[in-house]
Amino acid sequence: MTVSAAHPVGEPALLEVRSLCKRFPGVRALHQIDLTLAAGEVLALVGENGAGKSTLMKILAGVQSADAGQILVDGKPQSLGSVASAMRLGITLIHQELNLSDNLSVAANIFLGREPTRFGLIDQQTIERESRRHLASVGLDVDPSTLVRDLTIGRQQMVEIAKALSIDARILIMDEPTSSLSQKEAEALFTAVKGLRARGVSVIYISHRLAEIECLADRVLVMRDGENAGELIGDAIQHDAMVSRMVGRDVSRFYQRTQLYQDSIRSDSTPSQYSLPALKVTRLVVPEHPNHRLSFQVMPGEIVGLAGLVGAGRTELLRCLFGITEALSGQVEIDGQLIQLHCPADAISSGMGLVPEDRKEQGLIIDFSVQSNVSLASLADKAGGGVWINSDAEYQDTSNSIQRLRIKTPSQQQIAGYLSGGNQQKVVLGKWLAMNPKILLLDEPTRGIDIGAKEEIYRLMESLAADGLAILFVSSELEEVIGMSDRTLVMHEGKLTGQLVGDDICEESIMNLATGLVTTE
Amino acid sequence: MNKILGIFGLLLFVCLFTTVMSDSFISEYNLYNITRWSALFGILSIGVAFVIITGGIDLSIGSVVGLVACLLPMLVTEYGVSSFWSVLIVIAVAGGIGLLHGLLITRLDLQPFVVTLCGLLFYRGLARWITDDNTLGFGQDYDDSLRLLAIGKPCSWATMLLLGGIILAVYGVWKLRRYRRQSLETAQPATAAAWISAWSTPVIGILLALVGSSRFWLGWESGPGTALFQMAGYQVRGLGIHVSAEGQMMPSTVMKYLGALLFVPTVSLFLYWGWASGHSGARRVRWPLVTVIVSSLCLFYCVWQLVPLYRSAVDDDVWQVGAVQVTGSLLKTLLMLIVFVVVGSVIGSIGWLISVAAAASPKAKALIPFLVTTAVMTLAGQTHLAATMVPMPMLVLIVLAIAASVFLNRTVYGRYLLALGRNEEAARYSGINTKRMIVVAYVLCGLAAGLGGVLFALDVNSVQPSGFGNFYELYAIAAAVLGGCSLRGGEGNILGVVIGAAVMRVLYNAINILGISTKLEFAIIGIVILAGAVVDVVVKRIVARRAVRAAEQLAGPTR
Repeated sequence: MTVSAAHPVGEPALLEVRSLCKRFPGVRALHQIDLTLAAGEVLALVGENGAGKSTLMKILAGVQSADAGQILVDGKPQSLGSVASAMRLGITLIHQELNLSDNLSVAANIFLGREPTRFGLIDQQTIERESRRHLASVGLDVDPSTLVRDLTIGRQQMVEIAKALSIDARILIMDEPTSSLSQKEAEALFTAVKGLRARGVSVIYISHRLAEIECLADRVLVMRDGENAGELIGDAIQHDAMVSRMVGRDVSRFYQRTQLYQDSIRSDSTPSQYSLPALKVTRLVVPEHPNHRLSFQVMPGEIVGLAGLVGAGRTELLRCLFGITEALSGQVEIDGQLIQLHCPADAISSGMGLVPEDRKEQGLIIDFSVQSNVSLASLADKAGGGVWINSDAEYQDTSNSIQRLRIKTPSQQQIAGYLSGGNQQKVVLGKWLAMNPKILLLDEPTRGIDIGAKEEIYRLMESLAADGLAILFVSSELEEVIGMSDRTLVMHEGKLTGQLVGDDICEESIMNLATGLVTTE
Repeated sequence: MNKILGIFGLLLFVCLFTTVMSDSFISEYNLYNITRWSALFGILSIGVAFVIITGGIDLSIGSVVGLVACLLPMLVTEYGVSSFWSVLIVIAVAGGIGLLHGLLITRLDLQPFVVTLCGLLFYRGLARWITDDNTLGFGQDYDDSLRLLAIGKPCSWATMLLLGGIILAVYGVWKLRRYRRQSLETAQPATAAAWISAWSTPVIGILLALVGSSRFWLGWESGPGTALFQMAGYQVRGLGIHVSAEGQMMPSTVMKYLGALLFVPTVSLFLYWGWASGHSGARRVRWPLVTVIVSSLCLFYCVWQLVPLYRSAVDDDVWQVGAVQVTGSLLKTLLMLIVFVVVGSVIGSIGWLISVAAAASPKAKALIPFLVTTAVMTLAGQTHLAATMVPMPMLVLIVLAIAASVFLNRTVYGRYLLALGRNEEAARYSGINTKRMIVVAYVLCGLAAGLGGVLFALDVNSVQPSGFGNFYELYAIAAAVLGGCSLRGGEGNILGVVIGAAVMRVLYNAINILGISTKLEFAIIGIVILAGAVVDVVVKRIVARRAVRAAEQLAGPTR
């Protein structure tokens, strides 16, 4: 086994992994994985869901053990039997879902489980002083006595990093750290990561967001089906190169719409059927942002993107449209009919469906079967006498959804929670398709799902729009908004700051509107 | 399914152990009492199961039972309201209490624990105040009318089996037709497993009907039956059919031998399928099978040797066992523990065998209901079916359980309850009016507590306001949890809950019959419930691991 060329020969790498293998029953999770990590290096790990990234990461953090292969730290073979032994070697994993106790202060969290004591009592002063030092080292300016729940997600993440540094971590493994951060918070995180690199701390960075890997990583390891699928260094780290290695074929930079709404109405000789907006919102006041009135409309067959920073009020708008919160004032018309929205049932009965932001908490009943999830919203409509469950319709709707959405599931009775993220999202979509909706509201429809499933969701959105559905979708991924929308609405702090059509939809114009620099309305 | 089999195994275990240790357990009188009390608590448990399914809890059941049990005799004896209206009024009061709980919980966002805890205190105090703490009863006047609702004996178990068997057979045939129509429509070849499970229900129904009808095989004559209860001016009478003494014994004999006759080929087929399926079937089945055989041999030894010793031992005697001298009571305790462990390992290893063989072969899995039925028939045939009476509350429970089961599994509202119990937010995002459904659950619980309270009051005929129904909420909750309801919500089935209630009562009864100190009563019941919960969690983990593996296998080789 030769040492990788990524660092000088002779000096042992900080971390080296040699032909690591891990099998789960029936699945080869990792096969002959080699990896080296030099001190002060940012190594990005990319791959589709199920490529083995999380297994590799769990083995490195001591959560799971490998079947075969070696792990060397500072050139010495080590067995990482537990999280504690990995931590002793300086390896710390920062989970996607943060492991902080949000009822405790920042300082208490940093020292949780190893509080310094004086006379048997917790030494509050030392904790605060030390915490301040660690927080400063990641560039986070908060008072250590602040409660964690009062911080934004981005800052909580920084606290997690400060905590890792406080136990002298030399290797930080970050799992999807930006998945719930706004652009600004993500940038702060990048600065912190660069700072760590400068201090000689190595980072293994796992992300689905290839753009941030382009600007952050020194080296990229691409994984596919549990194997090394290629390594990219320096300037070779490019979006297309990563994607083609991830999926094993060349793909275009982004999903290309085949038919745009503007083209279709131009070519359509009888536009009269599309003359009424499917959804018309007039001077709507969302309870979370009582100072702004929102007016817009979505035509049948049109895909409208709703862009903005996290906290701009996009999710709140969708929740309000769906009747989960009640609007303070304003009107919502569907197909020209004014509707009263007091609860989700009102929205559903007038033809709306919402794929919510949080798939596991809001979209799905995670331990219901696929069938029960798909049928949940349409159950009452198809029930005999409004009471008796129609199991034939249930079966039929589910098999239609499985076919149309290509849900990968062993059976209709499979528990939804056991499916992959992309398939779970398709189940949520299937729930609304069973209702034959007129309007679909999608909140971050592709969050946390792999590229293959993303493409399928995009294709589906397009085909639904071609069938005459109006689609309003919220996304924090700019390229998704740009690629998918016929028209883009941009929000900033609860206010609709503008709308962009056609070629005007570009990163710069969206960001200008989203940050409130420019307002067109 | 697994959960119901598990709790059923526990019931079987306690019954078998007690039967082995004492003759009086399967006496007609004792069985009648057990079923009566099981039914009374089962009614309460079904009610609280609905609340638990929504993720809530109702601690006020015992006090509601107490309040209802005080109000009913007051209305009937002091205020002279007719029996019919009295019953209706008190049940309505209980339903109103449930409604109040539901509204407080959903509209004011109060925690169910707090609301119903306050209810527990309030209704108890109210009951004591309105009765001035005086013991109430119906006197002798209602023994032949209203009280028959609780103490009536409408028919024997043989008749019950006949009726139940016919209903089951008709239902089975209806399902079979539906199954055939579906398999024609989908044009899929029917698997052997599907064929077996489709035929099981009607066949089991016919078998039970056969057993029940065997009473009449040796001739019968009819006459007026006993009075059941009088309500709204109508006298309801039981079935008055008389058969010869030999005929009376027929159901037990037929059940015993028919069961054994069918059990042997069924279990052989079951084991063969489990054994022969796949390359690992034999390996998997071997160990549980060996355990079943060894523990069964131990059980036979116990029955021939240890049990007679146990029965002949007198507490005060001194016994010479080998070189050691022991007192009679110590000997009895030791023997009891040995038999307990042996019976436990028999039932446990049978459960292990069933689950292993079922996992290995879908055909074997489909055979389980039939297998269990024949086994239970063989065992239940040991009791005197035609002489053991069905208590009236049991009939009430059966009707209620079927209604509740249909409501939970076949109606939209039942599905909504399960959905919001699992994940209230997702249910709300799916357009379900979750608040209204939660209120419905509390109302159902209140109504069940009211009905239970009426039957309890009629049963004992002497209600002490200060203590009547104390702890009943905990028995009901324990039965629901034993029966497979998770206090986190979203899980539960009615059959399991009913069996859970039966387990509680049988345990209670076993402790009395076996002469175990009643001071240990609570301790033993507590340990059994805890053991049940532990086993449930362990099994659930194994199942989850298997399912994840299956999903991984599916997702693995796709790319």
